[in-house]
Amino acid sequence: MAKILIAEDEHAINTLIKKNLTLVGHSCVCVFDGEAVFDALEAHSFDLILLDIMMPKMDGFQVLEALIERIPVIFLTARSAIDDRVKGLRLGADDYIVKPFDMLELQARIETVLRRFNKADTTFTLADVKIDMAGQQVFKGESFVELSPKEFLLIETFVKNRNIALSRDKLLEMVWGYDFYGDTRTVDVHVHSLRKKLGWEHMIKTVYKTGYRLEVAKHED
Amino acid sequence: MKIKTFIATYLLFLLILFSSVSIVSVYLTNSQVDMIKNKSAGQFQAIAHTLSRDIAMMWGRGDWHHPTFSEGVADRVRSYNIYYSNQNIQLTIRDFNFLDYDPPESELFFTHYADAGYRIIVRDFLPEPFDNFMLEYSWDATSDILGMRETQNILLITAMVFSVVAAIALYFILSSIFKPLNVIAGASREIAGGQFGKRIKVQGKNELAQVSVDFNQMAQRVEDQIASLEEEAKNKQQFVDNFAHEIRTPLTSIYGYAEYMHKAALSEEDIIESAAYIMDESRHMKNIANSLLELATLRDYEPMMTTISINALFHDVMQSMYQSTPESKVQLFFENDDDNNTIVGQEDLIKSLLLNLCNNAMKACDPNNGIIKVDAVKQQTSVKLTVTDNGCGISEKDLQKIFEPFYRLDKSRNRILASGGVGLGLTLCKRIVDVHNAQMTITSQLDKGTSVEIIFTTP
Repeated sequence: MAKILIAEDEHAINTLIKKNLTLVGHSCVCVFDGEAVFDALEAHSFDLILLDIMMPKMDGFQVLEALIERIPVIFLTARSAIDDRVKGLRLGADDYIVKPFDMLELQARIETVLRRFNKADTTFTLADVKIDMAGQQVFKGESFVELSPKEFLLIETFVKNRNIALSRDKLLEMVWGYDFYGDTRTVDVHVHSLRKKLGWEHMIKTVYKTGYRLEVAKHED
Repeated sequence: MKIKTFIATYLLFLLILFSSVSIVSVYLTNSQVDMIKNKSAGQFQAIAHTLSRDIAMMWGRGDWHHPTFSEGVADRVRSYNIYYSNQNIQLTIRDFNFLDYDPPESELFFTHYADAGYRIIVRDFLPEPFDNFMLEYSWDATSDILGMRETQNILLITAMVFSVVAAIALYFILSSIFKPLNVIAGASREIAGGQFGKRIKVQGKNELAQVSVDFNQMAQRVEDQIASLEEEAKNKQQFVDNFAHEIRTPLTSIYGYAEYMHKAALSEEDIIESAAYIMDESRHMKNIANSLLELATLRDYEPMMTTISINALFHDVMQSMYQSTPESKVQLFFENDDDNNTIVGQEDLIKSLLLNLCNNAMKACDPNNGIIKVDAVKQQTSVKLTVTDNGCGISEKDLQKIFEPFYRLDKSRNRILASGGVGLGLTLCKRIVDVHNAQMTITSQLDKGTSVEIIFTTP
């Protein structure tokens, strides 16, 4: 699980990001101005920094320029002007997310950057199920579980967005792709089969009027 | 325009010139012809008279050497002809007693012969008793007629030369007259092309100079109008940009927390915290909406004018301030130099104006040793209200933007949320001051404090 520093001067947004990232198992430290970033860096080491641009004391650009350690940085800002994006990326930021952002998009982008730096999880364990993301293999106890490619993609999606309710439509889009003409019942069939194969009847919850959610106890650091 | 004027003037000139030349030439010709006629008539009379005397003498003496009297007369005329030949005069006599056709009318006329040029012919009978003789007098007037022709030609050529000279002169005169118009035309073209700063140099004091002055005034007016429109458009754009940002920030939070509540499995603590954020941000948006509504209502608003006692006003404001910030250690002083001081205005607006200014002062002040003074000073026809604080002050740069909607000195949104402000306070104050036709000036020094002066000019 990655350790992420959130630098954002607005409490509401800062807390919101922290809550979201904690859901999928990341651990977060929140700072509210540019200078505090460096204090936090002295105290801990981080896998990723989410950096707001408009902050008191030092803005995001200045922070990025002053960073000595090579830590992946994602800008998270309300400034959507193309110039700002280009400037941010030129300075060496790994991604640039414009507010307002979507929860799943934020997760996906963080995941992508982490994977690029080989900091993403490659294995995930829940109860007696062990998932090897790199090898695309799933073990229940000691025995190998036979999964179809779609089933594996589905379980991977659930793991990456654990504790987040995913609608059937969203799952169709994420696992089967935009151009899939199937019914949302396809999702139900696959979820049913996953539950059976992994013994996750109570882990993959059906969420009222929404879809499914893989519930995992939160890590508390 | 220039070409039209040129053509019209020139045609008029030609008409007058050539009609005068024609009249003069006709007059000259006529008088010359009359002269020639008179001269010929006179000469004819003299010749006829002499001839008839000679004939009478011949008749009396019976002195002729010819078979007939008639031939004798003809002989006489021949000798006359010899005498007059050097004067280019030819005389012919006919005796109608011996001719078998009727005599022609006696007359005087010009005629033209291809071989002999112009001649003037006079025919008449001799005086009685020799009125059977018709004398014909023919004088060669070719040189006189040609002279007349030449005079006419000279006149015509002179007129033509003058018309050419006049055309050139007219062209240059018109050019110099139309030059200022061309300058104005050029300037207006440039202004039409968007160069609103273009002006004309005014020369002289004639009508065109006046036109130039008026034109310059018009251009100035247009430039000012355009500038103010641009300014207004810029302000509107600024407002829209600020507004969008102002709305987007709370919406990001509201949507984010709602999405979080919708998708995550929440603990009770989570629910309370998330809902509290949603409520905070919604309240902030409600405040923005209320303030905007208030601003919109105050546009072109006619305040309900009543006379407000300063003492009562200060009392109300003081009460409200103590109620809203009961624990504040900032000291508030209200001073009124004359208990009879009144201003005319809508009471709730004036109160909200003062409260806004006091709240701003409160935010600027150090919570421990801040001092806010509200003064009323009577002036000749007005009352001056001043709100002074010893707070952090406003920089020169910020002072220019301070009336912009959503402009804030304190950039921290967390404190803004806590204070309930939306960044429209001073914009609102300005609007209130404007609808009362009052004047507001803000002076400030960094770290020394700020002073807001409002002068109510209404009596």
